[in-house]
Amino acid sequence: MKDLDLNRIFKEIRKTISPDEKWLDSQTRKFSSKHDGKLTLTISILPFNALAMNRKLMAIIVSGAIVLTGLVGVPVAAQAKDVGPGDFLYPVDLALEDAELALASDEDDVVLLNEQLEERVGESEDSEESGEVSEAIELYNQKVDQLEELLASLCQEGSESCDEDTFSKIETVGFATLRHVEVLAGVFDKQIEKGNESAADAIIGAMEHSLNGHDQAVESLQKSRENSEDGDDGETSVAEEELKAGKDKAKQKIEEAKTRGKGRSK
Amino acid sequence: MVERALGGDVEAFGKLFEVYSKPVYRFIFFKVGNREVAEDLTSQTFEKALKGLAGFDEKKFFKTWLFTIAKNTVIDYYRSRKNSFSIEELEDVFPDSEDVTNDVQVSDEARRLFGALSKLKKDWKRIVEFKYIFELKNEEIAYITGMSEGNVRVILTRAIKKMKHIFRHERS
Repeated sequence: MKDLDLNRIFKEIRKTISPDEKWLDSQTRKFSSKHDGKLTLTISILPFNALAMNRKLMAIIVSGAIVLTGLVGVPVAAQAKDVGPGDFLYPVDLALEDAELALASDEDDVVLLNEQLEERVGESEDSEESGEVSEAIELYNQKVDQLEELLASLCQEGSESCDEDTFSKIETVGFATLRHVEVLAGVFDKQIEKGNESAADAIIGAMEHSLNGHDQAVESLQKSRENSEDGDDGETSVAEEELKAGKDKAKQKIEEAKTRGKGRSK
Repeated sequence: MVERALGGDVEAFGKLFEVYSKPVYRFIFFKVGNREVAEDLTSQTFEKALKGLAGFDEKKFFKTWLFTIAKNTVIDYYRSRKNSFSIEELEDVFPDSEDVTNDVQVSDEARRLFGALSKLKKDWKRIVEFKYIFELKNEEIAYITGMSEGNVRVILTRAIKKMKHIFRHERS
């Protein structure tokens, strides 16, 4: 007999007993505007070169700045969005990301780190300068390391039960890392065209890093299945099968990029 | 996010509402059994939380703090309707989850789950509701109930096993 999935029934109950969506929207708007005018800080009052600043120190300054109220201007968070390597506000952006991570739960961290990985990949795509690409790539690698560590700690035996949400978040990471390999292959080609060999080498390293992150995601999925409340039925999910198949393609992409790189440098 | 809200972040409290409003609503709904009242009391809970945010002790769990406000809001609601109850008596006035959901369109499976839930010991049932309906983490449940996290985990495992047994027994 198929094992009874109480989690699914509880999920259905949670979905059924939920407030009206329109009411939720109006209340969210109401509570989002309650603080209007309290948090404010103009970046122009920062009397230093943010680029040259240590990230931890910047995070402390940003946190300190956030608690200041009553100053005129726009929030740092709002200004620091959509900035990339080389921008004056970039260290502020990174410090805000660190602060966000520090405040989130482990499962939310998976989502946040994944979003941050997407940003770094996007930055490496958008950057024109070799130095900026390398900076984005270095940060990308750091984020993959962080994510790997986090994934390894999730769904351990004896830890809180791994629910479907956690499972799907890990799956998302698995697919995202495969996509990153493809995007990075495009960035690699662009840098090779420009003759930026050091950046190109760094990109190959990042592609391999993506694959390591992917492996960890697959491993965590297996672990979460084994340690799930209902026990492991021994069957891999469709997503797991797709992830395994995707890895072979990604490996091939990396090999092709390596070959193109070698051909170019001859 | 809580720290950001404490610092006066424009959107952070709205985000907190987005994250916690559904579990708080469910918690209140299970105490009052009426959608409109539950929405109204959920809104009041967050109003109170916003006003009291400056006094929130960051060493505590934000969600359990919010649930305490929600519980007090429900108690105030019942008191306003019948002010002769003591808080202890009010605990007993709270309807059972099985009765509360009588007027809600849920599947047969869900209804049977409530039936199984109602057959659990009172403290087991409470812990299962905290975990699976109000979405509290084990450490938060431990904080609210005064139990150790290990104890919470053991009770949850036993309660789920028992519920599955009840389900199967009913099927056969």
